[in-house]
Amino acid sequence: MKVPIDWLKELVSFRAGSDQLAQMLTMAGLETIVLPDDVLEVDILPNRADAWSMRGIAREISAITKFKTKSLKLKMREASKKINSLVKVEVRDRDLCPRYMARVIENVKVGDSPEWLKKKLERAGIRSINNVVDAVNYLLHELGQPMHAFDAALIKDQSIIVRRANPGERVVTLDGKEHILDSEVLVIADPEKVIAVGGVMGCANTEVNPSTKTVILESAFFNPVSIHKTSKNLKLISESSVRFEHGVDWDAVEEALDRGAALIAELGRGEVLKGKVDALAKPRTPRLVELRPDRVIQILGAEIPVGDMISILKRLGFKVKKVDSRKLKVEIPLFRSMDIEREIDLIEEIARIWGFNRIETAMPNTAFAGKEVDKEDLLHNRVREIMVGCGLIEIQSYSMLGPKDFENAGVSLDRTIKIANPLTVEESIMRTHILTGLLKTAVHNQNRQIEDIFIFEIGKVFYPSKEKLPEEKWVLGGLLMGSPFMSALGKGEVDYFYVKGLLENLFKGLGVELPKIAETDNFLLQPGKAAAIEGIGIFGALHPDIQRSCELAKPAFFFEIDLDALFKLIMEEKRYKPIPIFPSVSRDISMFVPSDLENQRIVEMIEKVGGEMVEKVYPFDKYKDSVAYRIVYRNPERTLTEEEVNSKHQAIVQALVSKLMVRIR
Amino acid sequence: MEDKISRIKEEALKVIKEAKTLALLDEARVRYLGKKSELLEILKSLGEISSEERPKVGASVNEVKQAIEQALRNRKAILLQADQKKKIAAEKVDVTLPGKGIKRGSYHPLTQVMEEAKGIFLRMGFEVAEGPEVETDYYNFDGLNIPSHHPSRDMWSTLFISEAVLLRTHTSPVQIRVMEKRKPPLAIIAPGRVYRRDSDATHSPVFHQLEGFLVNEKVTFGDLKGTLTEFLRQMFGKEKKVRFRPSFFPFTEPSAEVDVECVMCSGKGCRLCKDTGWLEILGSGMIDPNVFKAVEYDPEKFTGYAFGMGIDRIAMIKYGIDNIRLFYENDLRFLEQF
Repeated sequence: MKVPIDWLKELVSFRAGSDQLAQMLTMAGLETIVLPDDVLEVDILPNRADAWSMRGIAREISAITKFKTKSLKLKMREASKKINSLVKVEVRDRDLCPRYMARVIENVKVGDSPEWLKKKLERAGIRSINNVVDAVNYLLHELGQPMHAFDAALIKDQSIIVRRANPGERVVTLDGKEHILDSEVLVIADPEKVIAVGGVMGCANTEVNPSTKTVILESAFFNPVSIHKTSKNLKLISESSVRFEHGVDWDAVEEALDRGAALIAELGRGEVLKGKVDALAKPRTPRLVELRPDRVIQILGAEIPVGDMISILKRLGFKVKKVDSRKLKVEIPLFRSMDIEREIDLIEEIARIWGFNRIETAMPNTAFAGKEVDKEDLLHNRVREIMVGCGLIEIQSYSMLGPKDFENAGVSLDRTIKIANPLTVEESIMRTHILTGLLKTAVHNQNRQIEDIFIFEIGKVFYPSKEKLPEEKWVLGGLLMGSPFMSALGKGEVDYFYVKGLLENLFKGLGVELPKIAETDNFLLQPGKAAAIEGIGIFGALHPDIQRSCELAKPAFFFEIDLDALFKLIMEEKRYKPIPIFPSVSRDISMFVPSDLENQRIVEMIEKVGGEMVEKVYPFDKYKDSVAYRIVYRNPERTLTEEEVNSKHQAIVQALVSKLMVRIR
Repeated sequence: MEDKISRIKEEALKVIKEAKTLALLDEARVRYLGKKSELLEILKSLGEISSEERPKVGASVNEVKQAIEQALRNRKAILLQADQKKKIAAEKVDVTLPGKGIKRGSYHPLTQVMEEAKGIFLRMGFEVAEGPEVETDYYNFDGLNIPSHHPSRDMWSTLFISEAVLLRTHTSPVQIRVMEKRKPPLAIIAPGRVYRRDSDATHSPVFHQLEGFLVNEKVTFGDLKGTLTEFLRQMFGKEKKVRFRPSFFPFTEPSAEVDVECVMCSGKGCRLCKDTGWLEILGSGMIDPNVFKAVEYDPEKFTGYAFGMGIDRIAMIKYGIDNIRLFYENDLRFLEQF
């Protein structure tokens, strides 16, 4: 809120300059900056509605600086005519409106406000409308109490009824918008019609206008929760509704009414009728809160003398009674009834006025037993390290995407988590595949002439589940396109085996044996270049349909790994295997293989026939259908003889020929 | 005989000297020192020489043999050297050509800042805990002393999945989840993604927070100040001033906003700090007794502090980035800089 220094000086005397004042307020919890022309801009915290007025700020300054606040003078001359001859008020729903007050001002001339008022309001950031509205706004700024002025002539029988709306009741508010109400909404009505949504906004049907002669001024305390609901449900936020939902000062309801009525009479050269309506559910009395000075010291870790605690509380307007040295009884003024309910609230008050920066820093003990290690977090870091080492750049993409992104990636929108109130449709569905963000990134970069794209992301994907919350899964995804080399002199582009090698590195780096790899028909991948890692993920060439729909210029390769599943494989502890001391013997087999015979089957056959004697088997040369395998034989307990190797090797060759139909070269 | 020996010597030394390759040199060695060499013949025929002359001839043969051996060694060394030189010359490369191998990848700047921040707290003795990104309104709000129909809920513009399920607006729900399951003492940090219905140059609907909390007997506001001051010094530099300013969060009381001296102007006032000289980095405070009640801790026995920071904001400050969108656009020309 804007706080002109000269206005502030009507409410509290102080000798600080603007900068110093701003500094003091900021360090007491009211963040303040200095604007030109001796005006402060004060940011009011949501729990400090009491400070949201010129008087509220003045009270804070008094508490901080020990200068006294000034009391406001009321220039009120009531006419002899009594108010009850002119207005009747009936409050039917006192729970939503515990206090409703009104005054009547007669013979008002509605017109422009005088220059002094226009200027004063303008410095506070308020636009002048006419003298009646300006008077209401003036009091709102001064005391923080919203009020509403009605044209009495437009209210049927000058009879005001405060009640819940009838379900389906329609109302057009001052902003010209129509609302359909339900019984949760409190309205101000006359016997025929709604004249205001209580505490939120008035209606044009009773608005003060140039021909208004008699003004009914309303000042009330509306139930904060009810106002908040109404404002939310009707999507109707006003200066008045935000004040009421945070809670206004119970006592200021009357004070503002009196001052407002007097000001309207003064500005409009009218007369305030004698007396006021006060429909009061029940008078409020200040709350008592116990405060233990020891507890203050215990929470803050600062040796604040009890005398200083008492002094701070008194300056803030609290009444303090010392029961004994270990206990104070603190009476909370009504203007702080919204935020001060408990001992801890008082401790905060003492701390902020005492000064946070006067509380000495300490270091807590954090060396205690029973801590846990987040091994999944460690795994993610390890995976990230390996990926970066393998030449991939980490990306971070939004967890929510648009239907178009799903479509481009060929991913179904069934079984997705949707956001009910997205900012845009492009950010409305939680991702189910890590691919979507990778693709978006690839397209973004390709459109900026970047041809070699090697990226990965570690993030969560989301699926509907039977539980209250969706299933969340940690996933690693990578997308590779173009050349991985540092310079253009390096020849060759990424292919299926490049990606596979990268994943082999990942598993090796994590100390996990690569699970079984088999061809798969995953819809994201190109048939024939698509592999599944059993229970862990998929990799291969991106399906040409997806490449086309994303307009990727080059074939892209992709992998997706379920990190939660991978994590389970890592839990096993590592055991050391002795280094062999006896020599190994290698034998090679060169053969022609049938086109549909997979490497895996050849290796399995060799391992099966070879048994424990075969330590390792791998292809080392391949041209078209001609492949050469090397078999390494070893016995960990002794040196193998020529004869036993030969006979085992012969058995293997025979099995390959007879069972797998290979032809030995 | 003597003449013959000295002739052999002369001839051999000449041939050796002129040998152009290691192969020719080896030929020379065979010719002058091999089994069929003249010198060996002479030695073999020593028996035919008179006993007076025999030692003399023997001595000169040996002398010549040594001289030839010496010459061979020297020549060999020279030829080896020349050979190597040639090889080196042939292997010369343009040292200014680019290197071989695959490019190194890089960590996302947000990861780097997150890991740096986590590292500081881990070294202080905190442990890492995580929670779901899609949360119930209980963990995101009610458990944290933010009742429904209370204006304080409006402090967070929330993305909802349904009425009671939402994208967490902060990492604070992890506080409740951990405290429900475990008993003090606890020193926890909770990193993760959070979501708000906000989007402009400094607000992204997706961003990252690091939450932290400590619960034990006799934890004080002074401890909070000490921990966070130490963190900020390690993160931004020892010389940077830190200040604690009263603020409001429903789940802490007293609550403090923590500012660090502006990294760009060192407190003199600039565009980055909006002329205040300070940068707001952290929200923090003593855990509200209502939060302890929600997890059935006795607020008389235990006290604690909690804090939370925006990793994106810290990264923006650290690297001088003025638009948060850059983090999520993933332009490789941006990412490669980190």
